[in-house]
Amino acid sequence: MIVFNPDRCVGCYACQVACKVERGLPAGACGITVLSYESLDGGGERRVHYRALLCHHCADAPCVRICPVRAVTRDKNGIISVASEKCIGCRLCSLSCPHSIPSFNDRQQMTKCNLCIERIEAGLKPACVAGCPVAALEIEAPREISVRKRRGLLRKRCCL
Amino acid sequence: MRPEKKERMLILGAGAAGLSAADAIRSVNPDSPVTIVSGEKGLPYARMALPYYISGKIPVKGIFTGMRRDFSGRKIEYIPGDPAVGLDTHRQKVLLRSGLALEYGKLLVATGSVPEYPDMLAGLDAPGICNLWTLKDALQIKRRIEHGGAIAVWGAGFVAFMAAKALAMHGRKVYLICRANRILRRVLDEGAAGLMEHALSEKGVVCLKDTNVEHIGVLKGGKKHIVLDGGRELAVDVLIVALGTRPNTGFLHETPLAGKKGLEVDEYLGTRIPGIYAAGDLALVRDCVTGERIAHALWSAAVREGRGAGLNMAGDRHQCDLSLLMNVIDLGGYGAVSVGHPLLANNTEVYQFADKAGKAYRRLVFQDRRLIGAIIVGRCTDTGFFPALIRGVPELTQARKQKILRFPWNIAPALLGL
Repeated sequence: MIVFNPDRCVGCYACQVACKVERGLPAGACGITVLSYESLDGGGERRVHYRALLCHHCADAPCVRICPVRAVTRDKNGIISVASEKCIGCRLCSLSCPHSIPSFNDRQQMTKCNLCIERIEAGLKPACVAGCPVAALEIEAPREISVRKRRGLLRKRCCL
Repeated sequence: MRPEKKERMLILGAGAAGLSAADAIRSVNPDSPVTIVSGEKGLPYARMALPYYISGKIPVKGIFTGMRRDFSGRKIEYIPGDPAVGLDTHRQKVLLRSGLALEYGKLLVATGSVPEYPDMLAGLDAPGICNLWTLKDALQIKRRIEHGGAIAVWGAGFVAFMAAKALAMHGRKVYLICRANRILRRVLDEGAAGLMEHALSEKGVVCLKDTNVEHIGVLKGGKKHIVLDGGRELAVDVLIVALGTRPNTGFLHETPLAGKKGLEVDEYLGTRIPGIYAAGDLALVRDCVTGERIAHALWSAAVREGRGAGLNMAGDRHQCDLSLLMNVIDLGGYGAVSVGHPLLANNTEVYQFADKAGKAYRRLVFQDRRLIGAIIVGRCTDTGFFPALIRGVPELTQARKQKILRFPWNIAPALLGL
């Protein structure tokens, strides 16, 4: 699982570029999306905050359940990936995902983060993690994440 | 003796609800005998993938949702081509057309719906006039349009739209005969329907609005002759009838379950007879916005209800009420999404946003602070956030609502930032 640290992010979008380059994705499709928003702090100063939308590889993933042609599957490592050639482009997955993660390529086939499984198998980090210049993205095993969550070391990254 | 564990779970129907229920039962209970009965021959398939097969996007093997080895590997008995014809609730038996009587401990009725067929076509058994409902229909349509030809689609609902789109993508001339003044009138308003009609016309589909069929005949050579109420006449190779559906509950007519609109269920998807559950197109489930009991004939609802019913059959207590209307249509990258009740007019605040250059449109409908419906055309990157909002989780604050209205084209930052 990829963990995003909003306190470190500087909004350079290098992760998005790295993801698109690694996977050859067209305009509009990306495995990670960085969103920015502004707020006023206590002293009336403008502050910019960042959030990253990335696949959580949910344990009980609605995209896997809803896919009518079973193109979205979970492998033995818990990574949810899509067999593009099977995808019909019905977009039910994007409507069922509570984080609206699935995006679509030129052939209207769903594409999403597959945790750069080929890179991980070669002993490398996922492209977005390797491309982040400020180490705002980390890759961790689900067990480590749950331990850190229990200890209060991970902030809730998404309010939904 | 372990009656609870070993009782047979019988599932009638191998569609989205039936297969989701079988998956859910197996996830909880790996041993109990599970039997799935399908009224259609062959392997189970995804009905909503049929238009994509016709358009040539996927091969026929891509539509199948379960293989024999999947069933045998998970110890699920699969009986195809033998629809249920009767139900004896006292003896707990289902009678199949072949004469086979299956006993059950728990029963799931997930036989879905059947398409309406107008009286005008009764007795006119001409090849080339069909629904787009079964694999047999899809194979027939695909065979007939292989070498060109014109097609008329009668109806302008979801199935009709998908059929027209698939055939237009296949490069065929398509006429869409729409009885109302716009297509998809139950889920899209005039603004959104106008944009989708325009997109359809760019693909070569002719939308004939405010038009009905007066007479259908068969010409020499097999072409279908359609007389419309404006006096216009069409000669087409295939006529697809897509005038809506009704619940497939014919075999329940002698039981207290029978209902014209569907099967009434409680929040655990149990019917009024203990041990019998219903899910999918025929289950009358409470709508999450209106609270009305209604059968949503949707793939998403069938998957959700099938899973809930399966878990409850396996002994869980999984509340599976509050269904949500969700329709998504796509025309080669240009899509429309309708969630909830965007056309509801009681005590509602309606906000419409249009970007003519970008061919994008949004309609957001609120009841006080709660979003109850949305139509999104064009930019569809944030659609996944809408179902949860319409279900009321999380509840919108006034500030969030204002921010959504200030930045309506992508609601994700508004939801994540507040």
